[in-house]
Amino acid sequence: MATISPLLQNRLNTTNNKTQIPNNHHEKIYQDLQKRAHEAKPNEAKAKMVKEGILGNPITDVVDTLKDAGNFFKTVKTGNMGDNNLGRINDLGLKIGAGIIATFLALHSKTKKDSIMRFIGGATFIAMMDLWPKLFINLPARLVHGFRIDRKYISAQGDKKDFFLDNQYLVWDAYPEEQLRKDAKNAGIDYDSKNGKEKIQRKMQKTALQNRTLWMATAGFATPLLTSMIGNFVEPQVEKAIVERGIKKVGKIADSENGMADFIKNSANIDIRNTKELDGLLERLKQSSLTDENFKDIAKALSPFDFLSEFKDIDDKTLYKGMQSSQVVEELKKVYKSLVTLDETSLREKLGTIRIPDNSIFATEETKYSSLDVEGIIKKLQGNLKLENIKEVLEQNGVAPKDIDDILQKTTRNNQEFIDFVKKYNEGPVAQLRGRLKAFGKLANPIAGSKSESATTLEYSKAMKKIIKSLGITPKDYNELEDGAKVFEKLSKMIQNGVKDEQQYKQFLESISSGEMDSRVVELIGKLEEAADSIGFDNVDDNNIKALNKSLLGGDSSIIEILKANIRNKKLDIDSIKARLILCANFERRVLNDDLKNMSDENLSALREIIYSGNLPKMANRGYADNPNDLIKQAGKVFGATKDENGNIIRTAIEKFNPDEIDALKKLKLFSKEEDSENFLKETLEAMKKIIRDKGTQCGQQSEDYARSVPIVSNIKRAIKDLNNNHKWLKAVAPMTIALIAITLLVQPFFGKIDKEFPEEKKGGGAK
Amino acid sequence: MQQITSPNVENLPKIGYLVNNDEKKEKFYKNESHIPKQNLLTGVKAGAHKLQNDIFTYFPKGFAGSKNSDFYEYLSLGMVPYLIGSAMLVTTYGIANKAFNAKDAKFANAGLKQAAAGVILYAAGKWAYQKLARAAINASTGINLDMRYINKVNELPEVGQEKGLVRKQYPGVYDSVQFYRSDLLTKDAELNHGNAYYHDDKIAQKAGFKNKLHAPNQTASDKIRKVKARTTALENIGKYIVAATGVAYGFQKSFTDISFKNPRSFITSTFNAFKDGAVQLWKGADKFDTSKTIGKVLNFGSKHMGKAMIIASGIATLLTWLIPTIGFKHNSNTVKTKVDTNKEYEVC
Repeated sequence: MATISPLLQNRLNTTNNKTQIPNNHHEKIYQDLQKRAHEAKPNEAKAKMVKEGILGNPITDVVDTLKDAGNFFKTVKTGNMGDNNLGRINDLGLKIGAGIIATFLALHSKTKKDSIMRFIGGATFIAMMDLWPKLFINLPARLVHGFRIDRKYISAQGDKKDFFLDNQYLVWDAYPEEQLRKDAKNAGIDYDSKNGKEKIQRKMQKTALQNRTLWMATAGFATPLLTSMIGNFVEPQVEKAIVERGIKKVGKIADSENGMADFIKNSANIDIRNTKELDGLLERLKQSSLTDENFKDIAKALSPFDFLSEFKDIDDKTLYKGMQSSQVVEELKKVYKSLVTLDETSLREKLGTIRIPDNSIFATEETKYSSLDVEGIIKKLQGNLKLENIKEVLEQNGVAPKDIDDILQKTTRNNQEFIDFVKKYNEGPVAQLRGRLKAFGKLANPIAGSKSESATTLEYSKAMKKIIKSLGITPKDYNELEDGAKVFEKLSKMIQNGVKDEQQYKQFLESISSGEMDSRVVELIGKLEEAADSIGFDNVDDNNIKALNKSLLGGDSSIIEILKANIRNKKLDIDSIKARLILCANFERRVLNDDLKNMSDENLSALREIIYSGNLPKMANRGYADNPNDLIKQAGKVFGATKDENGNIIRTAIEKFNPDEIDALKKLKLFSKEEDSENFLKETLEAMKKIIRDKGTQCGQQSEDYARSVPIVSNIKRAIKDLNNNHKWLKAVAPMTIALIAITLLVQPFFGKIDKEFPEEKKGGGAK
Repeated sequence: MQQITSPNVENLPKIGYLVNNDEKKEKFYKNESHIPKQNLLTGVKAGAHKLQNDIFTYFPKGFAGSKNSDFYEYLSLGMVPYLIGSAMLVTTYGIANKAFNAKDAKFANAGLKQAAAGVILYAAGKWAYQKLARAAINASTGINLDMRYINKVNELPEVGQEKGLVRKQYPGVYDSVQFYRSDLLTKDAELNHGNAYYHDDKIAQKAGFKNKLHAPNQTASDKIRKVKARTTALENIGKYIVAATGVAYGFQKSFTDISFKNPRSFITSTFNAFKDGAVQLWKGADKFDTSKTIGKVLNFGSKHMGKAMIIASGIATLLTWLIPTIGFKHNSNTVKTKVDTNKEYEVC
């Protein structure tokens, strides 16, 4: 600026005329200015361009965010801050808000994966807000027009701003001419021609404005779409990473010198959390007799599964889901009986009131009822006031059972010993058991837990995907196959087709039986099964504790056995699905070219439904076919040995498996020994036969033996449903995303047209 | 600062003159930027005007690359990604729900309802917080940060146009810290109160100056800038804390029970959702905990975070009022102003 304000000029004029000596500081400045007025120049442009790539610089981003935080505190303290920096604090707030939301949602997520995804989602959202304009607006603009519209500068006040932030305030002074020249060349404008500079500047201004408008129009669509798309792709990876980390962690313990057993044995005891609850419960029971409800309450409070609240992840709990300590109740009652004593004074009183009827013929009115020999009884008890003892002594003294019950029930009790025992038991063995169960859970959950993030679950979904592919099911079929009845229909058709061609059938069998579970996972499953035994208690002397412990851990239905079975079944689940598919295939093959050819349609479809779904067909529920005996006979043909019309035994079904099928079954390694595979086959066929025989009771139900795992139809239906939901979602979101990107890219070449604004340059008055 | 020049108005009243001429006022209001009478709907009106113009004016202008596209328009467009983004966020949650089978759709719809409630309460939290804090600031400082003015923009003629258009905008008087519209405040004071210093006097009085100041505008402008800067800084963090609380609120299980069967059930179920959701948020009920067999699943974080967020929101609101207000108050005992005649000024 070369002009001085009119006020100042006026002042200068007046002082100049008088040429007086300046009498204060300000006048001196005016005089100096007046002398130098003719050589006054505009101040140098202090604004400077920022050198930064088109994708920005993550380090600068972090530094800027820290600066924003600093500016926030500076503003709060001093109250001095410019608009630009104040506006930037908004970005900081957005990040903080996103962080809080992600934390809240993560804390309320049921699985680790969900929790992690909340943060990934939040971070991706913010990243997409930043990346969308960079990748789909600024970068294409650079490629289409040859210049960048995302340059930044640092203003004279030190604020970092977008150069094209304000369409009507562009500090071209700060823009290096060299760069402008380059930009002009790239944009096909002759910089040195008439209006060359104005043209490139206007073109850049216009392009920038149009692109920034495009950004505003598209960002709202782009950010959520891209975020959800990325999230969708990242999610399985996160799950995989969590599983792999779990395998590594558990593997490390398994490989250590003393292995999993030591890890379980050395786990810290977990004291019950609601000691107060238990104490209160026991306090109330001190002197009264205990009802069944009381025992249940105590057993519940003593539950070793109380530690479940220690698990943050809901899926960690599923390993123990359904486990109850109901067995403890009975044992606890026994312990109670052996420990509880009756109050002596109260007992004397009560005994005093009992009248014994004398039923002899010599009884007179006076002697009809006699009192009990109270002292004698007390003496006989020898200070042992336990229930059992008292009962015994009373019985010896000929007290009627009714009276004995009355005495035992209504006498004041001393439950202290029992209470002490319960406390001791809770603090000792139960606390230990809790600790060990938790430790075991830590090892078992990442490998064989029912959770979605366990190795076996991942293997299962991998196997299902492979099976679906082997069956030739494509995403096109998904919709149709979500219906259970359709799955059955389609599956049988697919297998029937597969069976037709021998070569194709062989391939199908091979592809079904291949794809073993990860060997490391199998190994760890084996080790876990072994380690489950270490959950058991160490030797204890107390007989009561022993009995209680046994009720918790002993027997076939003990916790340890259930855990072992749970873990073992995880592996069997996958293999038995494959085995069932082979059974189905075998059935279809035989229908096509074997002895089953001549079976009536009705029986055939009934048997087919049994073999595919483990259920009797619906028609069976409505009175069990026209000719049940015929069906049973036919079932014998399919599932095992039976006699034909002439009384000859027909070959058992097992012999009807061809070598390829047997090979495929053996390859599954369902059991450690090869012959076990055959046993499995026999057992399964036998079980299916049972479904037919027990028609009266089993209608519509699965036979227990055959239903060890969910029927193949349900398995496939469920797997397809999961795949299909994702497929449907992608089918809706992906085209929107692609369309958005396409539109955003395709409109950009139409931006930055300045021909109309500089018409005189046009040669021959071409099209406008 | 934006200079207001208009060839349409003759003999404009000069600053400092006492004017009480309704006709001139009317003429001025008709042609010049000015502060209209503020009421409860001013903000809503401005928002609606922005949204309408975003679609019908600002986007077309922006896409055309018009020279007349200004920063106000660009900032107004900033509203659009928020609106579309919110709708889109909810859409991505529920876009395929219709295609899901009944059971999955039910589950997904529950999530959709929560997401929708979350998005709405995010905005509601932000809005309520700002309104509350600003009302408190207005009460204790006399600075109405929500005050808007009508800006008359004389546009340059577009290509093919003979004369530029005059457009209306509704920016806030205090939108800018450096360049808040003190000129319009002065004008408003003159036209409506007969005293150019009316607003400044009010603010100085609120700040604690007992006697009338000779030049209250100097004191007031400093106070205004500081209040505005502090409030903006605090708001830019605080609104997201409250908004996050809104999302947490919306994600409570109660919001999955909202029914759309008929208007009546919608109203009652929505009311219940808000009522129960507040309790759930405070008590830390876990929305995913549906299984009773598993027992307690709340851990410390999920139990107390809702409470912490509600408290943090309260504190944020309080501080947003308190910090600017404390900085605003004048303490005559400690502040001694003295004119430094020897101070050098940079003249450029």
